[in-house]
Amino acid sequence: MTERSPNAVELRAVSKVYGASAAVRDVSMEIARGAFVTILGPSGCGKSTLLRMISGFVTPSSGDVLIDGVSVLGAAPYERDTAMVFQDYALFPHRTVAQNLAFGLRMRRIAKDEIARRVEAMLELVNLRGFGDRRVSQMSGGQAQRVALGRALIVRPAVLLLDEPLGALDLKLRKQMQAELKTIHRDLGLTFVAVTHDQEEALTLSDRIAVMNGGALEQFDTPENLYRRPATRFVADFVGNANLFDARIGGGGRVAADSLPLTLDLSAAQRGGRGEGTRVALVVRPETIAVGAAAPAHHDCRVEARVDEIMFSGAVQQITGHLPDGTRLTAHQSAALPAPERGATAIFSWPGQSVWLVDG
Amino acid sequence: MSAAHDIPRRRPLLRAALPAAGLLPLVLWQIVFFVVPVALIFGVSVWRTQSYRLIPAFTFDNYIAIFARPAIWRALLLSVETAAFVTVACAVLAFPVAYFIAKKAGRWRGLLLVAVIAPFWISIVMRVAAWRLLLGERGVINQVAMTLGLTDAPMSFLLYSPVSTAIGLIYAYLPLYVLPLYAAISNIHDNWIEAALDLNASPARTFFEVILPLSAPGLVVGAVFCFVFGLGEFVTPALLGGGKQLMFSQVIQDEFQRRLDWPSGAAMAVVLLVLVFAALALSMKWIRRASGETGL
Repeated sequence: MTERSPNAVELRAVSKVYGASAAVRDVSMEIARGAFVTILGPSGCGKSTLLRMISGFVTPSSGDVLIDGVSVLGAAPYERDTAMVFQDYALFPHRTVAQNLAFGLRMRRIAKDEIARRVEAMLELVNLRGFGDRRVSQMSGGQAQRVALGRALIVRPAVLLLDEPLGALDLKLRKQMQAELKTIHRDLGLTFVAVTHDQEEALTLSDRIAVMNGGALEQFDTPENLYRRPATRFVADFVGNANLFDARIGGGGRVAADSLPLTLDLSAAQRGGRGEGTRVALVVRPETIAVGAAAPAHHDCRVEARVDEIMFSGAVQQITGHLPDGTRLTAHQSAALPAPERGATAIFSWPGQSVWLVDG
Repeated sequence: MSAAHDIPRRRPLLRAALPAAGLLPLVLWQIVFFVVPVALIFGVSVWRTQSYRLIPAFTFDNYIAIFARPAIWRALLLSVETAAFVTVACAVLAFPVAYFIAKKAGRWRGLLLVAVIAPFWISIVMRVAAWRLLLGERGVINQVAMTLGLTDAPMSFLLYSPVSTAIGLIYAYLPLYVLPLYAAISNIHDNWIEAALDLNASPARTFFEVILPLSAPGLVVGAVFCFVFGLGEFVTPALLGGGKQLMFSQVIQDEFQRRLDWPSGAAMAVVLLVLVFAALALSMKWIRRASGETGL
């Protein structure tokens, strides 16, 4: 027996070119078996094209796609061991819920009594017991989404693909389904690859996130690393909120911001091996910034800014301000802390060790 | 001020009757051109004739005679057979055309739909006459076949036979089948097809499991058009059929015009009408079932 690849999916330098424009450029990615990976990016970044390359509906212009260690370039969608949860669910309208669930098993020529057994089990798993005989047109959005999920899960594919799976649901239902998706993923141990433009959803659900921009893979990493150690300016800006300040690395590891009256001593790790004279951007997360007359002692970066706006949103208040030269700043701080006054000048401060650098 | 008072003054009955009044032209049309003529036909069908004169009566002899005279029920059988064959042939020919226009034509869709409808802009008589030029013993098809050495003598069954009637009807009804089928296939989301393929259904299975069942409303509507029109068709069999094997509509015309036996012709017309209604009732049932399943 040959050794089984540890990767459920492997993309090797795949590109997709439509005429003069490239939808996907030179993306390589290894997705470990049992992982929950999300491909995240703004619309038009090529994330859906990437997903459709795995399912087989798009043939890459160059590069290779492997499922379970075997190239599937020559395999049609119906010959691949993948199953997709479509954005609009794509449930068969002429079939009942149970018949939708059974479809993939019937196509795989599973015995009738086993199909019946697995359909019942799947109805149970996706919380739709007793709904088997319903028409799909009678299902609510959340229920239809569960049927779509169940229809793909039931064949136990090598990779489960989810195309914006929760995009059509309202916020509360989305939160609930996120939790259920995560539980199902953990319980079944299948490989999930999802596509979304919702960074919060990606952060909540995934083991690893692939951030795409303009057809290229910007970073493929754990949610925490993406947030704390973004590889590029795009990732820093797209994942979570960020204050980005253009800066330049000076002599002795000192970093001088262009527009802030600020010079930082950064560790070599923070500089990431960048040499003197390199253009960089400082990434300062809003929640690391405190606003108030008295800055905490360890907040060694301090600037004075005028407060423009204070937005209260439950637990957090968002405070925006600007420096005399017009540079804008955003801070998130606990709503329990006293808010500064609009129009007043306040000290915005943060610890230098929380600053991250990306290439300018 | 006064306008604001006018609205609540309208009586409820009137308010309910107003939208229904829009149906009035349709109702009048149906009464004058359908209900009354059918009633008259039915009335005449139970009369008798004597020496070419109509005699009011109430007898079902005319109906019994239809099935007692082999020539008549053979014509009826030929009509049903021809209509059924034409329907099936149209369905088979129309499906790929409708599928291509709905799913593959892209920006050519509009032009292709116009091309499908275009034959309607020319009179049916001219179109049928054109088929005579093609199918005749010295017509285009026979000339080509003989030049190529496919046959020694012209194929005479091509014209003035049930074959030519069927060809003419298929040609005439194909657009009637393409259009409803196109509408039904347009409603099949590409995602449903992709979902089937994604769940390991081969293209052939995808066709039988998803595309064909979801085309059912169009298939049924097209079949109704073809079958019902084919059953009562007169012009095409009259011009292409040759007159040796008559279709039912030709026999009816014969009764009225040549034999002047109006009651007998009327009875045949009623039988034809009942057949058409039966076909319609059956198809309504299918459509209801099919559309109940497509409503998402």
